[in-house]
Amino acid sequence: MVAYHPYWLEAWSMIRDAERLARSRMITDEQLKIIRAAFMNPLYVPRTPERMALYLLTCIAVAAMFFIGVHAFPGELGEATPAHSLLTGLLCIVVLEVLLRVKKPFRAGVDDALLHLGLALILVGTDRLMREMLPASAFLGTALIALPLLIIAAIRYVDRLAAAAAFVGLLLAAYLMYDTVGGRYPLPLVLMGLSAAVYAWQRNAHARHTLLPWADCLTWLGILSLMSFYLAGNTFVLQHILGVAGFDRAVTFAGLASVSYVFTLCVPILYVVAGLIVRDRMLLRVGLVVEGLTLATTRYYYQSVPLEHALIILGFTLILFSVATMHILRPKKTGFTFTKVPLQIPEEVPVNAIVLYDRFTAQKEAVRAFETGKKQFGGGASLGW
Amino acid sequence: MNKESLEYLYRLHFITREQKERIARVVSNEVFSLHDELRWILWVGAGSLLAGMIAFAYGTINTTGQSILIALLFVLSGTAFLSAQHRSTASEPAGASSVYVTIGCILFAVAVGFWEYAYAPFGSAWQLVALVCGGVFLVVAYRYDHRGALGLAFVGIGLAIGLTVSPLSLMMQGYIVRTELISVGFAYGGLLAVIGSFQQYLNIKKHFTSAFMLGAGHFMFVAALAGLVTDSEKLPFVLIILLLCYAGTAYARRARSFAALLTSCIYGYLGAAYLVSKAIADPSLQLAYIIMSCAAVVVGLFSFRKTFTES
Repeated sequence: MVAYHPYWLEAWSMIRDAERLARSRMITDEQLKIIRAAFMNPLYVPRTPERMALYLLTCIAVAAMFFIGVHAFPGELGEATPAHSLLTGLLCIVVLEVLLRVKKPFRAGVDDALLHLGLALILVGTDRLMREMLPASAFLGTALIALPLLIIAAIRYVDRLAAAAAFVGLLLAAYLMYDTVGGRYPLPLVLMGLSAAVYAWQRNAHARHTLLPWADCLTWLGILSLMSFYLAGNTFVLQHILGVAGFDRAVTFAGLASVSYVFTLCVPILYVVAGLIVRDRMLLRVGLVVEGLTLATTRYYYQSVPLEHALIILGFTLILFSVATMHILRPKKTGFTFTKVPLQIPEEVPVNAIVLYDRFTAQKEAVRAFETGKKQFGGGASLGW
Repeated sequence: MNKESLEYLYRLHFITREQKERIARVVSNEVFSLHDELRWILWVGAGSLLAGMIAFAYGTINTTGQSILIALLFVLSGTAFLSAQHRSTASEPAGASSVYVTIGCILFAVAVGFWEYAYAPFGSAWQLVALVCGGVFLVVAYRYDHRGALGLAFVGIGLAIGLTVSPLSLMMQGYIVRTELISVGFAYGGLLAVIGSFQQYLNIKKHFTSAFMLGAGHFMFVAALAGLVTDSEKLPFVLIILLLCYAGTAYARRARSFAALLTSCIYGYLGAAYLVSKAIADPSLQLAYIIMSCAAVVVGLFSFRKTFTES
């Protein structure tokens, strides 16, 4: 099911965690070297700028491939047909599979771009086909096909964007199903329930060691589920978003408009307070972001003071609040602090680790010598390996 | 990092027991740091305040409210510098005062610009506004050891001595109207390079050398490109750009500065692109050149970067 060997992903996760520990000076650079050597794996994981460049170049190549296809085999009116999208998308996935077997890129830009564009083209092609075949419920059909595809992609390729898209697809499918068959509870409550369920599931899954490679996907799911829980309650924003996306169904709490006010005002506070109590940084940060959305919503509907006055008052309040809190938190009170987590570099590296490092380095050198020999002599067997 | 991974690393003897316990304490958020979150709130507050003040100034431009606003901007700027002063003496981690210095500089520039716009204390000499800002930023940069303020000072002084380019005239008329930009740019860039080298030689604020060199590079490259675009005699400027590219790459290798390498590449690429666009008339060939050369530059930069990190 998974495109990478589970050990490689686990080894990559260990190295990434060790790099984070080294950045916050919890382990020494020597220890990081040892861990890197111990968890050596064949995955190609470039740095962010290289990744971005590779992503961009792959996008250009895929776009060129698509347009060459359209140019060589045009539709009846000389335009792109669903078949063009579907075939180009499938070709992207095939190229990705071959690349994974040969070069083993992981979050290297090329694989990301091939997966994202491949999926996008397949979904666009499917949507266009559905519009021709089932014009009445085309969007629901596409959402129901997209959901398993995106879930499989997120699991197989350990891709964060696919995981996020799968979650959005789930919400969209729920919304469209509700639109088609109706439901017992108001739509916002259904969406909130779904979001809460996904958040609870990802929180449980985060603690499981076997799901370590998918930690980033789970984090994205957590952030999105918290955001969607808030947005489902804030029907003002939700209605606007759906309106922009072309959906005209009214999203309300079935006559209980005050419920929406309560959710809009209380959910951000709940997030921040809960984040501080359970010491969950994700909850706290999402809480701060949605607090901003609540302020923007309030301002949009109740313009009691001019914008510039509101901005100045808000700015002063935030600066005063943050500066005061920084001063209050400076001496470690109630387990909270303003300073970065105080850490010190360990005094010495464990002796056993140095012995292991020597062994791993020797192994690495041996593998390198083997590889070089293979290149020079045309096979490892000639060297007696 | 979860507990199982931590235990695994400990069992393999990669970390000591003390380290394991310390990391476990941090991971479990025994002491919960709100450092980043509070700084975000501070930044959002500062941005909101600034946006509100600009909007307010725009709304009350012809009334007495602007005097109060100008005074308030100066007071806020001074407060930001005092906060930076306080933080730099309170043995804060490096960079803690940097935010306050940046805010102070921006507020000061806005205050002086608004003052000149409202009451014209310098008459019609807008260059003096830039010079005052540049001078203040220079003092601030040396006082607070701030490279961002130093960069702003270079820009301010550059503006004061006439180094301004109007992108609009370049687009509309195809050439740069003010040709003194070329000679002044070379002189100013050269001066910055000399001062930077002297500082390095005399061991005064050696970490400012790269900022001086980058500033010098930018001004000289812009002057050379202006010459290439404006002057009918292209060859001397092509040679100067080549020389600057070589000098920039050599400095980047010596000082291990990727920014210097990037600057040389980008300006060199712009010069080459201008010459090619003049030499090739066919638009499709020009487009093909842009795509191919972009890819080549990206690949070249990354291979250079690799040698930087490996050497």
